[in-house]
Amino acid sequence: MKANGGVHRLTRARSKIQYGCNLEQIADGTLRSLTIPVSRLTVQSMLCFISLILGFQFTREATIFAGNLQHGTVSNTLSSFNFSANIRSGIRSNFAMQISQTLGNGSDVFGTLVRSILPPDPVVSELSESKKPVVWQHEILVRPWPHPDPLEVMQAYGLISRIQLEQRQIHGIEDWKPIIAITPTFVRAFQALHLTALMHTLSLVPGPVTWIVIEAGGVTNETASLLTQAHVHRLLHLGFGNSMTPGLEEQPLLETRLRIEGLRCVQEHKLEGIIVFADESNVHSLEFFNMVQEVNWFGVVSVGMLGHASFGEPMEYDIGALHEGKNEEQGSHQLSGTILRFEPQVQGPVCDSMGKLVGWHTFDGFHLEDRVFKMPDKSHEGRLEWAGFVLNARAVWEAGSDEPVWLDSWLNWTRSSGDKNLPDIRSILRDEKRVKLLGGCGHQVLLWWARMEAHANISYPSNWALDSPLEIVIPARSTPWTDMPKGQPPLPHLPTPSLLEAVTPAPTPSRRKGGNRVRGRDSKLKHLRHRQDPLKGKVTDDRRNPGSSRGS
Amino acid sequence: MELAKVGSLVDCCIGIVVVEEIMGGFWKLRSNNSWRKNVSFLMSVGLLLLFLCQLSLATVHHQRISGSAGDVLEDNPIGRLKVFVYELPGRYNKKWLKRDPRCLTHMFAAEEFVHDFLLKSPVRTLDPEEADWFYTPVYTTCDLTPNGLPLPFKSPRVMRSAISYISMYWPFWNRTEGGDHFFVVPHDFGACFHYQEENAIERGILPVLKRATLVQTFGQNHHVCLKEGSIVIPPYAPPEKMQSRFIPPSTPRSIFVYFRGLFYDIGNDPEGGYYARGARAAVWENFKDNPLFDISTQHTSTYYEDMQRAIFCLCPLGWAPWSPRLVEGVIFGCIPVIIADDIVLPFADAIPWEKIGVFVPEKEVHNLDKILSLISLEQVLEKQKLLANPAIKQAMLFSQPTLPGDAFHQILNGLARKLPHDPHIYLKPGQRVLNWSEGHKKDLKPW
Repeated sequence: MKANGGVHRLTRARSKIQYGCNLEQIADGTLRSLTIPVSRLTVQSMLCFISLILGFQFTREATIFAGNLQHGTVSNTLSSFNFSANIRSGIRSNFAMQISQTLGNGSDVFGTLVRSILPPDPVVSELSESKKPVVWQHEILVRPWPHPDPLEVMQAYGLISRIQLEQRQIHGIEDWKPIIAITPTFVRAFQALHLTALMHTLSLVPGPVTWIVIEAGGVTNETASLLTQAHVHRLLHLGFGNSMTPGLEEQPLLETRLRIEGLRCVQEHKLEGIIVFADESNVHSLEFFNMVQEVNWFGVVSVGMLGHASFGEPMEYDIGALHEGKNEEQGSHQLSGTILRFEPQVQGPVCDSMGKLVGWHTFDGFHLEDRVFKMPDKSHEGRLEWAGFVLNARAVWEAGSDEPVWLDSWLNWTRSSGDKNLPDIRSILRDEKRVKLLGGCGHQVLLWWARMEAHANISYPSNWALDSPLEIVIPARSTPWTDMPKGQPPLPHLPTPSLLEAVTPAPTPSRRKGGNRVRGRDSKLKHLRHRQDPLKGKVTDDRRNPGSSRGS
Repeated sequence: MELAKVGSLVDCCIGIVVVEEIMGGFWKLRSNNSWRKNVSFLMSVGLLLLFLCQLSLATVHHQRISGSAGDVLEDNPIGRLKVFVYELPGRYNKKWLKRDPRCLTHMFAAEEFVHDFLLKSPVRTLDPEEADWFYTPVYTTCDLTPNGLPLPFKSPRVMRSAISYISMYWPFWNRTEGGDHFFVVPHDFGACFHYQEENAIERGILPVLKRATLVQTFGQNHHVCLKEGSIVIPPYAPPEKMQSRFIPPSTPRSIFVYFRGLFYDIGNDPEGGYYARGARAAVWENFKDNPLFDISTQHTSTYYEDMQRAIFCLCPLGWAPWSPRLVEGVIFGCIPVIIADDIVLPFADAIPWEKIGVFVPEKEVHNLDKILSLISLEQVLEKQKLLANPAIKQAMLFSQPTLPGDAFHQILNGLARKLPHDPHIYLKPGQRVLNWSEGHKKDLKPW
């Protein structure tokens, strides 16, 4: 989209009269062979006078004339004078086009010469015959080094980030209620995996977060070291009770006990906000934390369940039958195949068409490692994940007057629940229908439970810091001719070419004995292919440029 | 402004007196050095300085008065003025519309919508004797090319014909020769009725409109085509189209500078340097590789959404200094960066544009990134706060149906502020000021 002349630096002519007179001198100079000094003076003065009257138009013609004579193309001169009538039309934008068109090939010099001459100031051009108001051509100012200045770019990005912060404060959710996240944990192989992920999620929440981590068996250094990276408003790391049992059946009960300990901590410190049961193995979307802001007293969300356990029996479907209306005419297009149809792996509330809560969708036990674990106690069947419930911190304080009637008081609930039969938090509700349904009652799933867990008692390097080197399964690739005197046998375990393709090869030292050819099977490695001559002693790191010097 | 003219006359007189004094002082000094002569010399020097100061002040004095946002914008014109709408035959207005309904959607559609609004407005009066202002509904920008651009070649004749019609059938034109009449001329260069600046300057404002008030989109200081006392309005932008494309205000603004449009007009200006006085080309050449500048000629379907994600929106001049980008920037909360020397922005006496937009002189365009990155955060936030004021957004729109504070009401407010009329506009019966044979020969042909 650029014009041809757009990129050029176009300069303005200074004083037209001066320029004009100079050109006349050039024109006169070419006629020197034919003139004597007196007539030269008269011609000069006449040309000056005429230029004063006619204005720039005449100087252009004189330029062309002079230029033509210099180049000795007389025919062009004549043709240019024939077009002088057109030139005087005063349409500036067509002017240069016409000139460059008429002058043809030998006139590149003319082209640039003409384009660099700009029409003069409007004051002077009023003297011209046409008396048209002039809109002149402007210079396109280009900086010599147009690349952005790094300091300015930094300032601009700083400005952008500050403006976004302001935007969030103005347009984001008003009155952000602080989030209180309660997480039961215990030291185990996958703790680092889960806890780190949860830690990063909570650090990203745009608002104050109080994170209560309750560890089974007391506070350990390992967990503490994992938690040092947390960027939360407040971190409470507590220990409670016995350490976690190795069996998987007992784990949920212990975790429940840890959570209740967390709730007790909230009550003690009289923390304010919204309590979220952020289990370690849960994956939260940040939208979830926006959604829970709507909770007044008690809210429920749908939880997605992810895992590699069996989901149900695969069912065969005739795909043709699915497109009922379409394929009947087509007859021959009867597609059939198998769709593995699973139950939706979501646990949460179910509503009727009016949007009111009518029941819960859950599973008959929970699956782990392809085994179905039934709950040991019948009363625990149909147990819902704690993570699907969100409540206001004030609900667990000592019974105050502002608590709603349909919420059981905290003391009553803890007293009624025995040690073994700790139900899920639903039992705190006297009237389940009064809960706040978040996420469109099962439409949005913003929280998932990734059921990926190791046994509690498998061994793993503590703190995931490896003390001793691991056992070698695949030896590193090395060439047989490194730094070895002649006559010695090559190293025993040379990697086979198939492994070479799988493993990224380490950079090879380029020193080579003369005459050793690359093996044919190595020809896939491009940098070796070019090496036919003995090396000059350069070490190559860059595989793309064989023989080039190191670095760039 | 008349005050400026008087002021300059006074300056001239003072200047003459001062020069005479100085000359006299010099003569007297040559003869004999006495303190009286020194004093008179010093006095003349002092007067000269005063004269120069006055001169400098007179040149600095602009037409733009900074109003306080929200004060005058929210005035209610109803009850403050009465407008009489002439009933012209259909060939001046309805026939043009029937011939080409595109006139209702392009950026010059203000003339049609103002007519429509005035017909239904409570300020309209059916009794011309009590009217303060008279409106002539003539659609001069409705003669469109197949591409949709208005041809102004017939417009002067249409306007003259309309005025001769109203002067024939109603006595109110001849009473003031247009002093209390207003016309909507939203064309590129207003009532100069041409799209090329040279031709527009050469023609000047149509002589029969010399005494009338013009409501136009063009505004540039010290330009022939901006009459003193004109009301500058924003170009028409379809309000429903823009208001249906809002994105949530919490979407973070991540684009620093945004612009979509032409940088070079190859068709009309193949060399470059004429279109936009080289300013748009300078923006392209300097900042096409700059990551902070999202500028391109590609037409994108997310134009309005992108503007809402941008902090600064460039509003450079084109062939004329005004553009609908200003309206779009104000509606979408993007701070307008105005690159047009001496431009007069819409409703400049009611809207303090210096506080809202960033003005960059055309010769500083190559330093645009430096200028914009040096603006402090507080200033940017202040400007964004002003832009978030719904009164300004409303003032830029020609809403259908009309809402209080929209562009129609701002026009009426502007007209109301010019009341009461100067008694000098009323001519004695039989007195004629306008010369009907003035102007281009082609324009004098009847239509």
